[in-house]
Amino acid sequence: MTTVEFSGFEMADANEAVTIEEIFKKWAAFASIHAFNFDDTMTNFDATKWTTISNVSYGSTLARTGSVGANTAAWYSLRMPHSYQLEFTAHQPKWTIRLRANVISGSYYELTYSKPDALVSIKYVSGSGTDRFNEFELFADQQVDWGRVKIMVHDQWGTADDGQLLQYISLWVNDELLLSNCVNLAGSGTDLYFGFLVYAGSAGTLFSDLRVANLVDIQPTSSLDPAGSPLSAIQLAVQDRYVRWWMRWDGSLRAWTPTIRSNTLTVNRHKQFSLSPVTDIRQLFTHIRVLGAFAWVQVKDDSLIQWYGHRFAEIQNSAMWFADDCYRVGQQLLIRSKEQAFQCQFSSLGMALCEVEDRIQLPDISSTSAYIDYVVDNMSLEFNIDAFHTSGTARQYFYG
Amino acid sequence: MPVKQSETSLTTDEYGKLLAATTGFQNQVIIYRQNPNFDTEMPAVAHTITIPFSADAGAGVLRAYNSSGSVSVEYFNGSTWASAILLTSSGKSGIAPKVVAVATGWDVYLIKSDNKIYVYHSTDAASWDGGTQWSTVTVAGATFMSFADGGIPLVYVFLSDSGGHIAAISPTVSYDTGIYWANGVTDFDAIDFQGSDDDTTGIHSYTKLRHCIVMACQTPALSTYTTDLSGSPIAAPVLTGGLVSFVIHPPNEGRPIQVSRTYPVDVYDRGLTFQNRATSRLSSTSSVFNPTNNRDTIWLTSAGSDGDVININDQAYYYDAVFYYSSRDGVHWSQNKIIPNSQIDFNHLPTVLLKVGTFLYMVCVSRIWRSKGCYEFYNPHADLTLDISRRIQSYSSSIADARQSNIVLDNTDNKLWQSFLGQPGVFTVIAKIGLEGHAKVQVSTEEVDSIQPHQERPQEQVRITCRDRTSWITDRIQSAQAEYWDSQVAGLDQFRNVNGANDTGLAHSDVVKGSFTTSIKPFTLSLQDNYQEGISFNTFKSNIVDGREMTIFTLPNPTGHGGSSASDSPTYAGLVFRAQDKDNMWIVRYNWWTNVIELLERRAGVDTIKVSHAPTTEFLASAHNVLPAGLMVDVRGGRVRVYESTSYFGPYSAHYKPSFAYYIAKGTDPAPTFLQGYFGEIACGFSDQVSTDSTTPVDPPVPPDGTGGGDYGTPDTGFHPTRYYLYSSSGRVLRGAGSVGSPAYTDISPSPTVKATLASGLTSPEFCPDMIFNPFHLHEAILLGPHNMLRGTNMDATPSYTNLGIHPPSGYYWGGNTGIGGFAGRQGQIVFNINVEGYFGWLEIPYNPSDYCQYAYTHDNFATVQRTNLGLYPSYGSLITVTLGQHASAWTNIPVFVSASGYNQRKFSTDGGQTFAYNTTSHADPDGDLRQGGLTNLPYTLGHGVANTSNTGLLDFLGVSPRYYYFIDIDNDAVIIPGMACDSPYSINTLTVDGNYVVLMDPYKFIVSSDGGANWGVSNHPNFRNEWAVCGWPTNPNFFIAWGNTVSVTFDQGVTWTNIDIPGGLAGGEFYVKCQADLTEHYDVGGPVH
Repeated sequence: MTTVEFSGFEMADANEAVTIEEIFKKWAAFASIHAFNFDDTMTNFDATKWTTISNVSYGSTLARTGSVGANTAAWYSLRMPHSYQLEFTAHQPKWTIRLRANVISGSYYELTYSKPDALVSIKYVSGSGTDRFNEFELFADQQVDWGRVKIMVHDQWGTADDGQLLQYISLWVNDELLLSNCVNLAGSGTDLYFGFLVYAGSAGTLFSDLRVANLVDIQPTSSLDPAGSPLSAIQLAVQDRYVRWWMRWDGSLRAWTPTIRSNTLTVNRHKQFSLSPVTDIRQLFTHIRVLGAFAWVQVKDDSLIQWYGHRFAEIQNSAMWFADDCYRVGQQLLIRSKEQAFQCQFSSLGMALCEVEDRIQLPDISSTSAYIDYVVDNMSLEFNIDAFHTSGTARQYFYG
Repeated sequence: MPVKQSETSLTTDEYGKLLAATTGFQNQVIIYRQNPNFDTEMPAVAHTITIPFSADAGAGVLRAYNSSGSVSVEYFNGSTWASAILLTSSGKSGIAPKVVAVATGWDVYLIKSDNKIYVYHSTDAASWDGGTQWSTVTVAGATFMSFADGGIPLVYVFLSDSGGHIAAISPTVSYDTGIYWANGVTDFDAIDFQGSDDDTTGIHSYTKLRHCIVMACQTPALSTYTTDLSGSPIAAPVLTGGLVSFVIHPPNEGRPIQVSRTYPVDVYDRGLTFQNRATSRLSSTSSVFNPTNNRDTIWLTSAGSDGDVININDQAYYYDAVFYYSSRDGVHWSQNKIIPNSQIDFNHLPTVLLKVGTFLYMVCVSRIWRSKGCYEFYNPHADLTLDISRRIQSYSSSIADARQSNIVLDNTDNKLWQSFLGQPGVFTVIAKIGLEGHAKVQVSTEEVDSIQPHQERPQEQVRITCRDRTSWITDRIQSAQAEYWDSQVAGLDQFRNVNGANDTGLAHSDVVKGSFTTSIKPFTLSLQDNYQEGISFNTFKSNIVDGREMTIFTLPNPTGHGGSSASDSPTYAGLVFRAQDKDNMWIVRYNWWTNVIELLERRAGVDTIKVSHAPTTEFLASAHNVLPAGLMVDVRGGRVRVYESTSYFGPYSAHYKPSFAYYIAKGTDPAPTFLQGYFGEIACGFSDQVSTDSTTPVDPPVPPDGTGGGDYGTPDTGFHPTRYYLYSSSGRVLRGAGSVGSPAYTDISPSPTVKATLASGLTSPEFCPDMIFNPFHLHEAILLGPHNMLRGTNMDATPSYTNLGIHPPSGYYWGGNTGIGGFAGRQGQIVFNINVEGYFGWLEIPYNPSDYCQYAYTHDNFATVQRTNLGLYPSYGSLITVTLGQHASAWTNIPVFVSASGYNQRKFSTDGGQTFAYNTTSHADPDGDLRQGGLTNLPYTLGHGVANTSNTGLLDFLGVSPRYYYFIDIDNDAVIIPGMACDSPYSINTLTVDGNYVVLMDPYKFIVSSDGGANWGVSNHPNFRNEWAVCGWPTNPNFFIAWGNTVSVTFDQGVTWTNIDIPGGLAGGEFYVKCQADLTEHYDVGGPVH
C-alpha cells in the first residue's frame, strides 16, 4: 500500500485542570464569595514519607544541603490518586519529576523541564528500555529560572466497553501550558507513585511549596444552567463524593473531605452540662459496596461486624472511575456510618467558637475522668445575659 | 475548625480563656448596609464624552483626560473639583492617560506624541512636576494604555500591530505578553494585586505579585461559519463578546513575563441576547479578609446593556447599566451586579468605581456619583452602621449545613425603624463575642432575610432573621445564562476503533472531505483516492479556540507515482485548526512540491498562504522521503506557533523544534479569523487505495417512523412546493416555479450538444429518460438518458450540466420500470438512497433476451461504477423493477430489491447490490396466473423503523387474470385493489412523510393508499394515459404531481386535480416525460443537504 498516512494525532485545549476545589472556587466566586478554607492532602515534604538521600533535606523544601554526587530519585512513599493536580515551585532551571511510577519495577513517566537545553520532554522508562514520547524546544518566553509548576495527571476511560484508558499528563509553568501528553494505558496499567529526581550538584533549594489539594479530583466539565444556583453547579460536579462545606465566621467558604483532625475543645463537666449518648443503629451498615462507573469495591469493618453482624449497603457513584477512588469513598462512608451510630446529644455553656465538624472531647459518662472524642454535627446557640447556652448533636470520632 | 487564635487579635491566654469559658461573655451584634446606593450626584466638571480618561482614588479622586493631545488633571476633594491643570499639550491624541495613586501622592502616565511613555508626579494633586520620560521604549501604534505595579511596574499598551497585541513596557524593555487579539477590543485596563504565593522560601521576591488585565472585546465566535458548494455563505458566525481577563506573572529574577490563558468574566452570545460590555475599568479595595491590603479585592466596572435581541427595537426590553464584578485572583469573577441607568446616567462612558474613605464614587469623564460606604466594599459609612447589641432581647442561632439566626431587638423608642433598617436595602449582620476586658471575636457573618417591626404591647420590637452566606450559593444567586468551567480536554487518536480492534472504525476522526480509512494499515489513518484532498476533524472537542495539536505523517513521493507537478499531483499533509467545515479553516501543512511548511487560511474554499517557511534539513529528510515527520501547532488568541519534527521516535512521538510564529490579523468580516472550531488533519497525495468504506461526512437522516417522527418532520399538508421539474424524452428540461398551480416556466434544457450525448450512439430503444434530485447536494440533479448521464447543478438558478461519461456496457441499454420517485413507463430508471450520500442504482437491460440483466450502482457519487449480474432475464417488454430499502448506515448495507415481471421472480441484496439472492417467498395466488408486476418498498411502516433485509416492508404488485391487480405484501397478505385492471405499466410512489402513503397510476386512474396498502382509493383523471409519471413529496402526503397527457397537481390525494399548461405543449415525438419535485426545496432546511 502506498498512500498518505497519519500515524497518530494528539491534541489538548488550553484550559487548566478543574479540580473539585476549583469548582468550589469558580461557583462560589460567581456568588461573590471570594475567600476559601480548603485543606491539603500534601502541603510539605514530610521527611518520613520521602526517600532518604544523603545531603538532601525535606521539610518546607526539598533541598540539597551539601554535595550530591549522582542523580538520585526522591520517591514519595504513598500512592497518589488516579487523577490529581500537583503544584510546586521549582527553584532550578532544570528539574525532573517522575509520575505514575512503579518504584519496584522501576517504570515511570519522566517529565523534564530544562531551560539550559531549552526543552521540555516526557518519556516512559521501564525495565525494557525508554520510550521517548515528545520533546518540545522552548520559545524564549517559555524559558525560566524558576516558576510555579502545575501538573495534571488524569485518567479517563472511553466507554464501558472501550478498551482505551487514556492517561493525560499536562504541564503548566507559571500558568502557561507547555506540554500535554496522552497515552493509551489499555492493557498496561501503571502504578501511582511519584517522585523527584535530585540532580547531582551542590547545596541549593530544589523545590518548595508542594501542594496536593484535599479536593483534588479532576472533573472533566462543570456548568451552570440558566436560572441555576451556584450550588446546582457544584452538586453536578461533586455528585456523591463525601464532601462537606459550609460558611465560616468571616463569610469564607470551607469545603473538604473530612479526615483526621485535631481536638479543638475539651468540654468539662459543670452544672449546666448534660450529655446523652445515643446508639442508634438504624442507619448502620458494616459492609458497603461502592459501585463506580467502571470499577467497584467492597469495604467492611470487622469490629462493627463482630458487634452488629452483617449489614450490607450499596451506593453508586458514576463520578468514581477507579477501584482506589471507590475504596476511599467506601472507607469514608463506613466511618460516617459508624459515627452516625454513635452519637450524643449535649448541652453546655460556652462553645461559642465551635464550628460544625470540629473535633471536641466530651466527658465519658461511664468514667469521671475519661473523655470521648466527638465531631460536632449541629448546634443551637442561645445568648442569655452573659452566657451562651449551646446544645447540639455530635458523632463519635473514629478517624484515629 | 473553630475560630482560630490566628484569626483573632487575642493572645494565647485570652484565646484559651475564651475557648473554655462558660459564662462571662459579652455579645456584640452590628448591622451594616451591604450594597452601595449611588443616590447622590456630585458637582461635575463635564467634558466631551469621547475624551479618553482615567481616575484613581487616594485622599480624593484624581481624574486625568486627554483632549486632542492636551493631558490635564482634575482633583475632587469630596465636594468640589479643583480647576484643571494642564500636564502637557503634546500627549498622543486619543490615548487615555493613566492615573495611579501612590504612597507619595499621584502619578500620571501618558504617551506623548514622540511615542514615548512619560510620568508626571504630584504630592498633593495641585503641584505637578514637569514629567520625566519613564521608558526608553517606543510604543508606536498604541491605542490604549494602562499600568500595574506592586513592585514591578509595567505599562501595558494595546498595539494595533499583528491584529491587536498587548505589550508590557518596563523602563527599558518591551515584553511580548503573548496576548494577541484579532477581534475588536473596545477598552482594557490593568491592575496589580497579591495572588497566592508562588514561593514562601524567601528565595525570590514579589512571588505573590500578579498583574491582571481585563479587556472588553469581541470573543471567538461560535462555529457556524459555513458555505455551500459554490462558496457562498449559508451561515454566519454567531458573534460573542464581553469581558475576559488574563493573570500575569511579571518578569522577575530570571523569569520572563508569563501570562495565563484567557478567563471569561462575562461572555455572552450576541445572537441571542442584546448585550454588550463596552468598557473595562479596574479598581481595588481592602476586604474583611485582608483589611490592610488595598489591593485585596479587584473591582471591574463596565458600561453596557442587557436585554432581548428579538425585541431590540423596543427599548422596554433592554436596559443600559453599569455592571460591576469582583474577584480576588483575576480568575474567578462574580456574577455581574447592576447599577441601572436610572440611578446614574453614565451615557455608555468608561466608568470607574472608587473607594475614598467611607464613600464610594462612580466616576466617568463628565460626571460623578456618590454612595455612602457599605460592607460589600469594606468601608461602611457610619450612617449605615448600627450596633444593636444593647437592644438585643433574644439571640439564637442554629448551625448545621448553614447558620441561621433569630434576633429580637427592643424598639421601644422606635428609632430602629427610623434608621436605615427601615429603608430598602441588603443588610449584613456581624456577631462578635468576647470576655470582659478582652477584644471581641467575630463568630458569624450573616445577611438579613427578613426584618419585621413588631408591636406586642407594651413591647415594641424589631425581629430579624438572617442566614450566613450559604444563601448566596443555594438560592440568592441565579445565573442569567449558561456558564461553563471545563477542565482541559486532551486526546490521543490512535486511529483504531474503541474496542481496540483495527477495523473500519475511524475512531476519533470525522472525515469531512475525501476519504480516509483505518482498515488497511493498523493504527494508521490512510488517505484514499489518488490526489484527492482529504480532511478529517478530530472529535475530542468541537469548539476549540486555544490549544495544541500534533501529528506524524508520511507522504509518498509523487514523482514515483505519476506526478510531475503540484497541479497534477498535489502532495501535502498537515493539521487544521479552528475548522468550521471543509471550506473554512486554518491549515498548517508540509507541501512536498515546494518543500516548505505553509500556513494557510481557507475561507469559502479559497486558500491564502500566509507563511511559507523553509524547514530544517532534518525535517525535510523525513517529510520529503516517505519517512515519518511531525508537525505541531500551538494556537492562542491571534498567535499561532508552529513546530516541526527534527527526530522521530515512534508513531506518536518526535522531537519538535519551533518553526515560526504567525499573528492573525483582525478580519474585515465578522470575525472569521477568530472562531471556535475543530482540530484535525488534512492530506493530499498519491494513493493506491480507492475509497471502499463509507466515510459519510454527515449523519444520515433518520427516516420517518410512521408516527410523524424522524428527520423529515411531521406531515405538513399545508406545504406547497414552489419548484418542480419536467424532463421529457427529447431531453428538454423545464423548471416550474412560483405558484404550483400556475407556475412560471423556464426552459433550462442542456445545450443541444450536451443533450445529444444523452442518446448518442443509441437508436433503439427509445429515448426514455429519468431525472432525480440528489438529496445530499443542493439543487443538484442527475439526468439519465439511454446512453449517458448528466449531472446538473444550480438547477434552481442557471444550471450547469456536466457529462458524467457513464454509459451502458456494450450490448446493454438502460431501462426498467417503476420505482420510488415515480417514473414509470418502460425504460430508464435511476434510484437513490436517502440515507447514504452518493449512492445511486439503475438497471441495465441486455438487447439479447437470453442474456441476464445487470444491476449497476455507484457509491461515490458517480466517481466509480460497479455492476452485478442479476441472473434474471429481461421479460415482458423488459419490465424489470428496482427499489431500494432506505434504512441504511452505509452503502454496504443498502437493501436492493429487483423483480422481473414476466417470470414472477424477485431477488434481493443486503450489501448494496454487490450480491443478490432469490426471494423465495411464495405468494398466495387467489385467482391463479400470478404475474410479477412490480415491487416497491414500504420502509417506514412495515419495516417498523428498521432496515429491510430481505422481505419486510416490501409491497409486491402482481397482476392476475382477469386483469385485476392485487396488492400483496411480502408477509403474504393479498389485497385486491378495487377497480384496477391488470394493465401495464404503472407508477408507484412511496416517498411520503410516513411511508403509509402508496400511490399507483394506471391509465386514467390515480390510486392511493394511506394505510400502507391495506385499503385503496381510486380516482379517475381523463388526462392520464399510458405514458405518465407521478411524484410525491416527502413532507406533504396530500400533494402529488403527475404528467400524463398534461401536467396535473393535486393537493388532496387526487380528489381534485389542477391541470397546468406547458409552454408549447409537448413537441412532436416528445413523450415519456418525468416530473420531478425538487426535494432539496425541503431538505435545504435542516435536511441532509450540505
